[in-house]
Amino acid sequence: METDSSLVARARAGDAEAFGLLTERYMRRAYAQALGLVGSREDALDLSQEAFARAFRARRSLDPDRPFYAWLYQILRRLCFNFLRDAKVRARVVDQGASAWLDEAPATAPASDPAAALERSEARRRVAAAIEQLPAREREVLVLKEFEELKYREIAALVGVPVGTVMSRLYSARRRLAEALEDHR
Amino acid sequence: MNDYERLNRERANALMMAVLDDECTAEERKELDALVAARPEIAAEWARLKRVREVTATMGLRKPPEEIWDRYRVSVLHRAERSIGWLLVTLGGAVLMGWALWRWIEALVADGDTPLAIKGAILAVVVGLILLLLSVARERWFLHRRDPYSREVTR
Repeated sequence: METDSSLVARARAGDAEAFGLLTERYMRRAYAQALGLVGSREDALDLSQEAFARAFRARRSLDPDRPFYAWLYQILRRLCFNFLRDAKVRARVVDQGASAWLDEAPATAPASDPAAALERSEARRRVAAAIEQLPAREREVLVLKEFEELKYREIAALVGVPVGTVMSRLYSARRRLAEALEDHR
Repeated sequence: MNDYERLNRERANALMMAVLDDECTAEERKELDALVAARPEIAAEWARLKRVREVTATMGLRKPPEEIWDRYRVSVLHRAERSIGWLLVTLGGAVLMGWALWRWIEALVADGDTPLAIKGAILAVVVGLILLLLSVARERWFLHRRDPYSREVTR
């Protein structure tokens, strides 16, 4: 398989096919991360495609020696944050509810105890609603850790902050989720 | 809370995150165990955070239908082409409209029958538009420079 670096070098030289291959390689990841940030499938699709389109237009500024996805992610997160800044859009997304973007993990087996299953379902619903209310930067880090399962240093590289900042944002986000769960009890 | 306690608390928070995410050393795990054993408020918070982790571990991002990936790449390229088209149309349209507006104003001002009040109103509209454009441009520039998210962006 051709390396990112080689594809980036070809894309820089104007090879649309090479850029298409980079798109195919990272489209799922970009979509998932946009979904985690904006909480709507349609908007995540739109924003992630827009990020690739902007990257395509700016492909001549790509550096083959730097990771392509980290560069793309800067465009993507900027688009997502701008999107979330629009209060009307945000209200619409919240109205759709977390079920539009969050799912039970595939490993979750059906419970034999219906009461426990109900309890878990309510806890998930509360946590999902609390995630939607998180400040964008905390939500970003939480999604990258919990749902994308990235390491702290990978998140730090993507977001462009020190590892300590990643951990403190994560702590703050989880504390807010804990409060939402506490209210439930 | 004094500085020493705040530093201790920050250390405890960092340890809780590192252990929760399994990104810690054996020594750090022991350090947290000791803190949890010695300080009830940290023990309580540790229990709450573990509960959150248990819940989020059963959640995932909803996957889209597989069909969307078939069109994805083509849509990106079409989108990039369209934006170039839109840019050209917008630029060309702005130049044409500006030129037409200028010619219209020129004709009105040159026409001796146009009342002075109308000429004054046209001047007010033109100056007002220029001021509005400058104000919007300045606001955009100001927002761009103070954008809390853009400061993190490293290109």
